[in-house]
Amino acid sequence: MSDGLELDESTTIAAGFGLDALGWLIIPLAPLFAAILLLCWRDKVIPWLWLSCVPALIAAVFPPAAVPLPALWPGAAWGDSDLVTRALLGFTALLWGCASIYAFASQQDHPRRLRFFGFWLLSLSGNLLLIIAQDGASFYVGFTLMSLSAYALVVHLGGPGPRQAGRLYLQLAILGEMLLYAGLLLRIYEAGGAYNFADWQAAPVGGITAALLLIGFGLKAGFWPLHVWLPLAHPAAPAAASAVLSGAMIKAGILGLWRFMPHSDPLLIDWAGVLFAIGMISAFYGVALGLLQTKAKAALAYSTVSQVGYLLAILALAWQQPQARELWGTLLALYAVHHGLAKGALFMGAGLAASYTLNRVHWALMLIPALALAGLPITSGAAIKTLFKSQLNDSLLSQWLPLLTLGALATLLLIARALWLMWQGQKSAEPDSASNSPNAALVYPWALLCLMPILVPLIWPEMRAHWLESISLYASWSLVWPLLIAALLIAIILRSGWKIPAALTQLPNPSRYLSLQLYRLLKRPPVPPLQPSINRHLWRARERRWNHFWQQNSLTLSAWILSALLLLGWMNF
Amino acid sequence: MSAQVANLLPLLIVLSSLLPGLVIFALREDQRRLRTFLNLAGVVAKLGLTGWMIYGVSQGQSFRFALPFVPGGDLILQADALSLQFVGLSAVLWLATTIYAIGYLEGAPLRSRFFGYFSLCVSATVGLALAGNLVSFLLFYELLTLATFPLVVHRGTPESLRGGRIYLAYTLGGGTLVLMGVALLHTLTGSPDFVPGGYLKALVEDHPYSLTLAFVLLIAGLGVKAAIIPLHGWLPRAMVAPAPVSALLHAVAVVKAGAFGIIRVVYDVFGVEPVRLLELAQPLLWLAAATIIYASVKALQQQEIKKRLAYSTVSQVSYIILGVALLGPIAATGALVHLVHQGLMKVTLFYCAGNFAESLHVHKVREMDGIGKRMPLTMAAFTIGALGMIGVPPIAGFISKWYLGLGALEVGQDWVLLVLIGSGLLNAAYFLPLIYRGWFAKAPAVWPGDTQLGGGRPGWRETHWMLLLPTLFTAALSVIAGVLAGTDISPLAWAQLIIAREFAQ
Repeated sequence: MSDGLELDESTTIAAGFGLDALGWLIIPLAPLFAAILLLCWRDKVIPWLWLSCVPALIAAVFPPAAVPLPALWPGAAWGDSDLVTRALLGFTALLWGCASIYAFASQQDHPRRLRFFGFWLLSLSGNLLLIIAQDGASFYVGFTLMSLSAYALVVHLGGPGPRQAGRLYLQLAILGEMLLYAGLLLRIYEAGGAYNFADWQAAPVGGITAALLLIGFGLKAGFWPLHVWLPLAHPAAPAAASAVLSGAMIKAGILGLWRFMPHSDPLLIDWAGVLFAIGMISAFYGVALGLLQTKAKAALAYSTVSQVGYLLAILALAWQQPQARELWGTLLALYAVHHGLAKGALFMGAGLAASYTLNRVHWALMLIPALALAGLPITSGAAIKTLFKSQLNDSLLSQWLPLLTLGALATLLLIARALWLMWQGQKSAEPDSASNSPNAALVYPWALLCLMPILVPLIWPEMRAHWLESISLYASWSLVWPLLIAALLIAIILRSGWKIPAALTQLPNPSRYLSLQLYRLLKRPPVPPLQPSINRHLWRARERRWNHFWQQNSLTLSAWILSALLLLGWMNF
Repeated sequence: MSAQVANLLPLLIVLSSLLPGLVIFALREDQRRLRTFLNLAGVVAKLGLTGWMIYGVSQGQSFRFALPFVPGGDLILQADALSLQFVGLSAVLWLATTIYAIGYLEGAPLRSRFFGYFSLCVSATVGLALAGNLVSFLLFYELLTLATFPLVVHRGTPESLRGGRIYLAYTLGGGTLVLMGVALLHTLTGSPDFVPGGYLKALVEDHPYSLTLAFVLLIAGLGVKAAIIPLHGWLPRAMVAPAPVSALLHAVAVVKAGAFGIIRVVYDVFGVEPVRLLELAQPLLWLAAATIIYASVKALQQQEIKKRLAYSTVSQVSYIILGVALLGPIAATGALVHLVHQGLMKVTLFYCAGNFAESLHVHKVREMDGIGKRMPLTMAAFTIGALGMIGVPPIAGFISKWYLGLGALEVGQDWVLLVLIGSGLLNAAYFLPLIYRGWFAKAPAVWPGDTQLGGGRPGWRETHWMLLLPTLFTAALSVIAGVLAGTDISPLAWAQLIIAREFAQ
């Protein structure tokens, strides 16, 4: 009786395991499979590449059970049904899917499009893998695959700008990889040899480990002062790639910190204040520099620096208040989804504005993600700002609450600057491209993303709850008045025709210079050749003398040495 | 009956390449088919026998063949887990390299001589791996030196003769040191079989100086082949050899023979405990760390692809020594698994360098611009090998670095992590420019010398299929060894088996 029961149980477990494992395995494998098809059938596959995001989207909605995958690298375990995983997986798949269609439509005639899509798929696979990873090694595999493949997206357009941006990106990415490698190993060691995140959550983190992880992941997330590559790389890439770089990939850094660091740790509690400060500096620094930009995509990239600052601040607050980790995790997930979708839509919009004439409907669509980022009521931005405010109010750092209000104002200024730059670009290009409107494959995926700030609160219960709180009159007013002030400021500036002083638009960029210096250094390393300078004649003379001395032959010498050794052995040393 | 057959197996494995090799010497140049048949028959026989023994050893069976040789030390061939790791690697890579060499030397003169020595070289390597005591090890170690020399100088140009002379001077000198070390130990206890945990524990009290001297002699002698600084000078100069020889030299035969010897000496002759008592590991660790960094910097300076790869070998083989010298089970796992992983990745890189040279006459780093468009498959294989060397997951090199790093932390030598990071950065600095040039730089209007090998079209016909296939095969193995590291048949699983037996004492 009991035997039969056991048997039944084990078979159902095995069957369930198989299906669940397949469900998780297919998420990162689908893009790789698509890459193989791309190699075989080339251009025919490109319109259908978005399908490789579908398994991830399905898993985000109906998550299979988590599974260990013992056949893979040590400790591999994929999949979880917690909110952070599902939220990130869902929005990442959606953003990549839309961007895939957009990229197909915009890259149709590019001569190196196969290379672009090959690396695109590798990067997608890495991004999905790191989200579903439940152990350090799998995360690292996905992270590396994504980071390194994204280099090809940054340099795709060719020319000096993308090349320089790509160089800095790659140098910092490799540095980040190595720091993470060390951080990862130290973390495993601290957790007593455990590989999975669940065990790491309970293991205290050392100072060096925390610093390594913060810098390693910070280089990917791009908060101040580790952002130097971001404003160069994101605008240099094609619009679809900028969208995924800014929307999806930088979240990997934040997710990594969330997963690798323990729940509650005295060290992190100590550091939380500083990290919160760094986050806030990043938030305002991004806006300040973004306002000085003269290209729409550069302004948007700085807006990303600014928004990542808020994400870092949320992380810091979560570490400071371990008892409220659940809530902060929710906020982090909501914020990542909201920013990722909105920023993706804006980057793709900037790409459209740069090469096509947009009509009123297009501009109306563009306004939705723009205003959502600033936190306009009825958008996802409002839900997040309200939640953030209420939680910050309950935390130890509640005295900094006004910063969030100021931040909303600053964000709107920056986004307005980006939109204005797009608009200016349109006006200057209008005469010769009057009938040049974007085709459906470009507009529909973009329009879908543009509508997301309104749709997400409707279809996603977690977001809906907080969204409902934010549409009360009081909450709405607290969100709207800073925006009104910002709008007033914008109106004044536009009316007065004030321009940014030219000196401020061309600030020196030390990181680009240093990157070039490093490249030159490595190309011709100033290491002495380390070849001993041999005076041939001198050595020849010595050799003759030596040969003369051992005239018999070298056998004698060997025999002598051997017998000396035998003697040594015999004398029992 | 079956036990007797089983005990003949180690001998048969050595003979499976020795006999075809001797027959090949006797063949005329134009007997191409017979030569190819003999080569491939030897390869298949060896693979089959290796598979049989691997299965047997994993089931706990033992294979031991003994002949009287010198007093106190028989000529012993026996298969334990460690030797099979090396035999398995050399059997697989011999298969790939034989096919590669047949394609590479098509139409070249003196092929019978080449393949004859090639088979002898593999026999010596396998014999060295299966050697059951120090005396037998020494015999095959010297045989290996002699068998590889004709391969290094195969081209017969003044440059290759000079390279060969330097090679011979270094390795014979090293061989002499090993001979002295073995003789010293032989006078102390004779040459009993290698045993996990070593057989010198009882002597540590009475003969600390003799043992230390023997250790230094052995490591110095083996270090010549393993290319530890300052004994690495021959390796970059031996680059004049034909591509398949370089590939084999760097991946299994010579360099690995040195590293394998060091593993044997530390684990199965001295044993972890005596090495620790005599405080011999720390200097070896420093030496390995210095080699890793120094050779990486040297690699950065090289402008020739093969030279850059050669210095990269110097650096990577010292990972193995590093793992051994850390004296912990996790680090040892890393060392043993790197023995295989480095072989797979480096052989891939050398095949690729050979493909570039044979198909397009590309030898220099700066000539690689845009080669990915003309030879995408070779370049993809090169990318896999190079990224693996840097330690990028999920390629095999990552698994080794992972275990080495964890092993260093386990025994409290945290600074080794810095060495690994530095080496990773340097590896990236000298490999990424090649990958960048291959995929992203603009191709020249004319290649230095397009031979139209295999059709000359990008894709499956980008070069001779016998050159392309082994390249893709080993590149695929490098990825599979990393991705499926958790399976029972992965190099990692086998390394863990060895370590479980070694550290059980």
